[in-house]
Amino acid sequence: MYNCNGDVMHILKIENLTVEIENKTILKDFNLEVKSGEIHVIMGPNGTGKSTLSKVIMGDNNYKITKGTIKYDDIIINNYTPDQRAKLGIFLSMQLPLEIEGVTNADLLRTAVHIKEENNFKLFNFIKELENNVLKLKMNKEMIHRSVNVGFSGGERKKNEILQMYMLKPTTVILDEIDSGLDVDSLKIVANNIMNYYNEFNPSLIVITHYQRLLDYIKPNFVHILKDGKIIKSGDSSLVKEIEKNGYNSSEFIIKDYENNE
Amino acid sequence: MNKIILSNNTFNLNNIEYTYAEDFISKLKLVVKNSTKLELTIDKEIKLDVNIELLDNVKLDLTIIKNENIKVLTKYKLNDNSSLKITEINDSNIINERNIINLNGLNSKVELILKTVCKNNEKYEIIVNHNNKYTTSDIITNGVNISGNLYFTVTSYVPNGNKKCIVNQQNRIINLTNNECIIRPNLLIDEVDVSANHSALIGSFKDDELFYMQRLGIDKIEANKLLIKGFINNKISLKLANYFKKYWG
Repeated sequence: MYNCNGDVMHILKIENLTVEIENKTILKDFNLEVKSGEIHVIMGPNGTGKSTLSKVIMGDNNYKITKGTIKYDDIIINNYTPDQRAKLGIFLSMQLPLEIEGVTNADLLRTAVHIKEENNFKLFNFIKELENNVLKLKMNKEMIHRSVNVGFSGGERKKNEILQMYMLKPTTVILDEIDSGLDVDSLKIVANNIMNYYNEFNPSLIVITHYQRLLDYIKPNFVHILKDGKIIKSGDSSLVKEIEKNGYNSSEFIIKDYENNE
Repeated sequence: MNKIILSNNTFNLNNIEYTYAEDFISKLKLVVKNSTKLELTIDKEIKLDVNIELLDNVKLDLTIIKNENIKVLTKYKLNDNSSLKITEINDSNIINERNIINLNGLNSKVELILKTVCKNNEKYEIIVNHNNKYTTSDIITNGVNISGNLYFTVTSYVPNGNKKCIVNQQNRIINLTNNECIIRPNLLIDEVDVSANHSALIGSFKDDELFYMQRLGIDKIEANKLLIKGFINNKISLKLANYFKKYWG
């Protein structure tokens, strides 16, 4: 599928999705459609299912889909493994990137890029690109050869996630609280790099965040408020200002929430 | 670097006094007089008693490579302010091994990193006696069991009165079979002024770790390979990691 500029268009479509973990419903009849070039921001109080949504899209098998579908370019991917989804072009930057002792960043990325590029993989090009991206993100070069996230600060871990994004060049990027653990300078570097990537590759972005500050750099087309596993309100970026001002407990959100439950 | 290769009786040693007697149970005795490095390769089928003593203020960086079926008892004696780092790489079929580490000297320290790929039957017993105050032991045993039975028994003793000791144990087996593997971590401490930690884990890798890799497009089999490689090669040099290259690349 192509857009009016002739660019390849990808669509992630979530329809009536209900998700459980340990018999507890986390997402309920959830709907969302995200196209290439669109930036969707998902906000909401703690524990409303934002991280669950990101992991379910990526295929974390700790979560059970009891109803509904996730489609990528009209293919139902409910039963796809995370690596199969990654191969379609979906990428998740995790809220809490894991430490993996003994596996170096270089090994992890080389394996991932090699699998993606198959016979076209060239080690020299990989190293050159990796070094360029490390420079862009103002990361310490040594980190490439250190165990994944071991001894990294919160900010370094988040930069490492963006480094993975740059190396894999996904078409749909989910950023789960990419701004948590970042100081002002790191936030600027990370956010600017996300936008550079966006401008260069035209992916769709799903940005999960609690704070306006990230949105000073990443300008969304759509903002959604998630509460109790459902989107209770969608709007443009003005909605973020409303939340900053009134929080999630303003009467309008409570009424919407009530209507949804009815 | 000092080198001992048992299969061809190579003893290239400086700063280390030695005696070696071949018998039904062969005996090797080393006295380390100055700080140095030593690589000991046990590459023939053997029953062996080893005694290694570190004199006061001596540091020894000891690498032990075992790639034959062996039964070995090693006793270490560390005097005041001496420090011993043991990196042990095992790639054989049958190993029955007992290490007794006596931290006799004030402020003596031992760090042991044991890595093994178990294919048949391997039993390791490590005993650390904190026989003086301010002594430190840091024992890491890592094994990947691919087709055998693997047993780690690690015991650290701190008697009453030996204050300010630091006692650490990290024991882990990645069991790729349904065969029996056992870790017995023992901390026998009769003193309150001691810092002690231990972990013992048998199993495979966590789902979270696999998910973290799979989300980058790496399938489960490849992710497991990477994790095993990382686990077995962690904290050892590239040269030593080469001993395990044939298994996971």
